[in-house]
Amino acid sequence: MKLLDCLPGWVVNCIQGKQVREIRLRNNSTVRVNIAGEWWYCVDAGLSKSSENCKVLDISCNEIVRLACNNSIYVYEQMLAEGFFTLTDGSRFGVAGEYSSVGKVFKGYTSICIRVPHCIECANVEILSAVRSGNALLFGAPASGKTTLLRDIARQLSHNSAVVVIDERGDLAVSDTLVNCDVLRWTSKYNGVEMALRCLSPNYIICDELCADDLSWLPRVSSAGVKIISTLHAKNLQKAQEFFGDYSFFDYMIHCECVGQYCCVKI
Amino acid sequence: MTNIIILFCSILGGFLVGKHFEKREKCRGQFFADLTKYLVLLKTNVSVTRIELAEFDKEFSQSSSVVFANYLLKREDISFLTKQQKALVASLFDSLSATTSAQLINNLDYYYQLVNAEYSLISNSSRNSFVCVKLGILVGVMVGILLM
Repeated sequence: MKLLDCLPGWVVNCIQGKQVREIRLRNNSTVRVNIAGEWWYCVDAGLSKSSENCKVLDISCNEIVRLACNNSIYVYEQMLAEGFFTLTDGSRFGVAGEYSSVGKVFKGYTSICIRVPHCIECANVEILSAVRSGNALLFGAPASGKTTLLRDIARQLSHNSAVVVIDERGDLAVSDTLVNCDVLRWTSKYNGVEMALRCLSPNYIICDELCADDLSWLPRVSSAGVKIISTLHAKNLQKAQEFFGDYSFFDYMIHCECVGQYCCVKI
Repeated sequence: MTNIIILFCSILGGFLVGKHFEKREKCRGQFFADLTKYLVLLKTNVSVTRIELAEFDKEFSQSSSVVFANYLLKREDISFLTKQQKALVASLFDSLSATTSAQLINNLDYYYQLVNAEYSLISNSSRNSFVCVKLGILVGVMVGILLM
């Protein structure tokens, strides 16, 4: 199932051919799309900056989720329990609604945030030189282009190195961008690292969105002589360094402000 | 001469009608046999394998009877089923869009019991389906004689 197959026809007409980064849907509310960093409302004739005369979503979020899951919600259940699921084209649906912690399921969906992946050549010479020299961390606010940069770094490194990509959420290896990489899809980063180190002889391990649980296996990768490149949600260098506490693991911290605007700092 | 033609045509007509009913019985049996198997395998798919329903249907239809495959993939008319059987099948396939796997498995268990019971009844009655052709010929003869 692809993104355009599960959206209402009038929404598809509004966004067709545009570089959409994000789509926000809410029950009985307007549809907003982020195109090249700017927010627009979907109207009958196309897109508008103003919320006046906007068309309201005429299909429920429950129905959109059902369509997106291709009528097979059971396949995506484990992901939905964590509040998201990813389509085959890499579009990641973040869901919100009434959650039941007992069964770890959503009883109903009230809003959806769709992140559309993009394959953009954005890793410049400075960044590539840094990631080849040591461990690198890409940090920035949400939607600042960290994953887009990470994807391009993986692609470029894979031309002449063994690159293992741990694609935990299925939104890194999209289309044929990472054909030269060994992709471990839908596995946790911990499991992926173990499999990569034991079986895939990597020069680089690439994974997205570090969290507190990942601090346990990071030293293992470094001591194995493998470089790691990852991302972190942190608004500035200070917050990124605070995440790791006293342990200084990464050699380079690359701040992502937006796609194409990066600041590389050697630690 | 005319009488012979009338008799022959009515016997032939009776034979064809008998064959039609025999075929309906056979199709009904095949459909419910496949439906029973489908429910069992779908439950395994939902619990373990977890491939999407459309893909599962496509794979299953490759080893099922033509009548079931046509309904599964194209929702072709199942006129050979009775009204109650059609309602059961429609209700079953509607329930496949359950929101959780637990709910779907419950639905599959529930419908399996109903479908299995229906299949048992159909199996029993289909043993006598060969009678349809003979009955058809007999009725054809009787109609032919009446028309002569």
